[in-house]
Amino acid sequence: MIAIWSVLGISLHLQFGLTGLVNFGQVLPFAIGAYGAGFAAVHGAPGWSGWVIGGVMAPLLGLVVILPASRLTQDYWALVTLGAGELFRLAMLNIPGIAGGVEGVSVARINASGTAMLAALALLVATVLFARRIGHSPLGRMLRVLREDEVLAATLGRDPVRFQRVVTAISWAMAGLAGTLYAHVIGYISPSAFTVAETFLIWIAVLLGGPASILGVVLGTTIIQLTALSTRFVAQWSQLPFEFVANLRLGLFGLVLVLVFLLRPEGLVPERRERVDAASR
Amino acid sequence: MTQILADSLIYAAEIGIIAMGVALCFAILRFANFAHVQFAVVGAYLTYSANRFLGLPLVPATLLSAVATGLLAVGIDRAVFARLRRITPEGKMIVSWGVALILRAAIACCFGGASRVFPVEPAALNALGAYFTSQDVAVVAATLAAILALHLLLHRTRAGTALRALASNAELAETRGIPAERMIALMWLISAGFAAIGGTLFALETRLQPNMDLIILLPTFSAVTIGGLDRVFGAAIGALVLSLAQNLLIGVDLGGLVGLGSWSVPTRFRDFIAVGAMVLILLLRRRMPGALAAR
Amino acid sequence: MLQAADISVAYGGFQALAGVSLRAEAGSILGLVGPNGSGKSTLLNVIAGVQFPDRGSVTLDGRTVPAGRPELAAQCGIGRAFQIPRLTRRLTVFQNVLIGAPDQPGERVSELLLRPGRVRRREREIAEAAHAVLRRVDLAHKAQDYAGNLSGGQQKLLSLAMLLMGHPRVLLLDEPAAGVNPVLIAREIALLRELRAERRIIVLVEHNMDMIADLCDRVIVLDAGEIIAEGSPAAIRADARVMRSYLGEPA
Repeated sequence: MIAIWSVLGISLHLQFGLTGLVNFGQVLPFAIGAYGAGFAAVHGAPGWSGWVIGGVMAPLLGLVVILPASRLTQDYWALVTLGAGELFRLAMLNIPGIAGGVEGVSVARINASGTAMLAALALLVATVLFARRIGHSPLGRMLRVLREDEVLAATLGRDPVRFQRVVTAISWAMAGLAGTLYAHVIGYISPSAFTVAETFLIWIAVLLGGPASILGVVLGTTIIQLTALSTRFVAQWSQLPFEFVANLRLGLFGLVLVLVFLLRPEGLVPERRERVDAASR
Repeated sequence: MTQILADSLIYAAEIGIIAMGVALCFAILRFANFAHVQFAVVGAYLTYSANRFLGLPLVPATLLSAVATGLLAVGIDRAVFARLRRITPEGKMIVSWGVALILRAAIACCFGGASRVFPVEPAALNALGAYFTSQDVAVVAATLAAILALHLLLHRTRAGTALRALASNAELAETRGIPAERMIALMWLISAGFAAIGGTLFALETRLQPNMDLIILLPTFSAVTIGGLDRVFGAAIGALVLSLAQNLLIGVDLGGLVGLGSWSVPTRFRDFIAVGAMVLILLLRRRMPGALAAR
Repeated sequence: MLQAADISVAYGGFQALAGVSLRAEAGSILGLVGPNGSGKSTLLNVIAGVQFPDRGSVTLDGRTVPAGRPELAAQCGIGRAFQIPRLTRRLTVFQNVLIGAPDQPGERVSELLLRPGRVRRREREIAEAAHAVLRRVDLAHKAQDYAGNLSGGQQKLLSLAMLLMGHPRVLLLDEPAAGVNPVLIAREIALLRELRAERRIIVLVEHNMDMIADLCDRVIVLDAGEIIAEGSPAAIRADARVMRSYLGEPA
């Protein structure tokens, strides 16, 4: 599980940590991936088509969403992505024909937990390697420039929009694949798993760990996921009702978010000075 | 038809007040405050508590709750937002979500997850072919009163003028000697107070439950967007427009109009309309004029 | 030759530039002076494509430079250094200079994945060019410092270095001497002379009159968005209208 969410975190790292794009709808490509699998299941298409949908549809939609980004200021674009995510969720919720509506739908489950683990790790490793390659490359360098000053990049002859498009496509493809895997691991998807709250969960994990560093993102995701999973145990151990503990957990996350901003905006693992050049003395 | 109009008006009143608070915050502090709906929920619960446990009648309870929520907002500003004045707008949005989570957890922990109902027995009324209750009338009247009060405040008092100056040009306002921090505190008082009133009205009309915030969130933000994000009275109008749009699309037999057989937008698409409108408006917004970069 | 014809820009009622035209030959330095707010930076912005003019056009060697698209203007060979230097503070001086180089296959994902050898080779070329440029502006000793830690004057030199990596035909410099210590100014002047000898076109906005007199072949004076005088530095110095615009109406 941690692996899957880490992939999501890394996708956000690319978008936000490196490039400075703020996307509140990251759950959307995730959901698209998951629903790709669901769609396939409902309509009797073979299992692998879910992966195709996840890996292809997600970035395509990402490109659609990034189109207005060049015209809008960052905070408006954030709201648009939020809206887009919600639109998708509501559509899935209210149009039963696509993939089960409120009820959700079951998907071919990878029953052997060993296989599931392996698949998740494989995806994670692939993602990490890819992200590292980008981060250490001239591309990564230019993305960091874009994060700080778009006009500078433009006066140096680069088209910022092209870069934003590329990053968004890659980032959303990652998230989409993560989503499809998620569906197959859990075996069941329903619209309630893809709300705004999920997006912010990813954000908290990323911000806590350090958006500009891959290690940070994985660390943050691990912490958040472990906390979430441990809720049940804490409830049992402390004899408090589950609901109560769950709410406490939410409040804790909120507190963490606020504290990160106030005390350590860089996150737990700040950006190291990358050696992005081949031959520097 | 009048039923649709009546329903729309009532719903718009509830949402509109809350939306105005969001717009006010946006106008002065330039970010979309996700915690705002939480203020509404807090306000609703405080009113309920004042009413139930302190025995206050509804109107004073609401006012008390509004003041209390306003003070809470000022406190939160001091603790959190004031220290983060310099970060990007989207950063403030993220922080506000954090604050929202904390508030939400606090409410849920204090009051539990069950829903409650205000102990009121409104009289059923009927006029012009529409059914509504005396409570509905009170809700709309309260909203109108609040709008009027705000208008008077903003346009007839020194404080109001100062607020408007801050909203249009913060730097210029400060050089003219307007005490920005005090005005911001005032803004929070009004904004959160309105949220509290709105939340109470909403809870009166429906019921009081912890996940009210999710129910209110989308329509509120949609209304604010339609109204122009930083236009306070625009937000009220936005709420009305949204409400009408929702009810018309759902209530009117669109299929019949076009001659395709009876069909109207299913009720479940209410939220869909709200979000869709919001996204559409944001996309259609002209880019910010002036300054650098022609893109 | 660089030519800007009839440029007008207005923001919300305020006319920043009104029908301004200029010409600069290859291998010359054109000075642009005038009181604050006269539109000098705006004019540079329009030429560099950073700002969209309401009217007018810019051509370089007869070819029109697309308006309002800074990346296209840069690709035509126009480089702009800003009054408040634009740099990437979180990257080192060396890395900042690296990004100045225009043609980097490493910025394309396809190249990264399929032709890593080519990417590495180009990186090495760029790195060498970067070292050379840093030596030229005398910042080599600061190469590994973060750009954000440099002094104002050093940041201006860094801007210049970044610009040079792109081999621009036109350099638009906005107050390169402001806040810079005299030693570095002398360095800048020498550098600009070299660049002129390389047949580049330099448009220089400055308040430092000595620098203008020393370097410029021709000077244009702007006031309130209009050209009020044009000519050699000496002629401008003696021009009564210029005196008035800088010093106000005589009592």
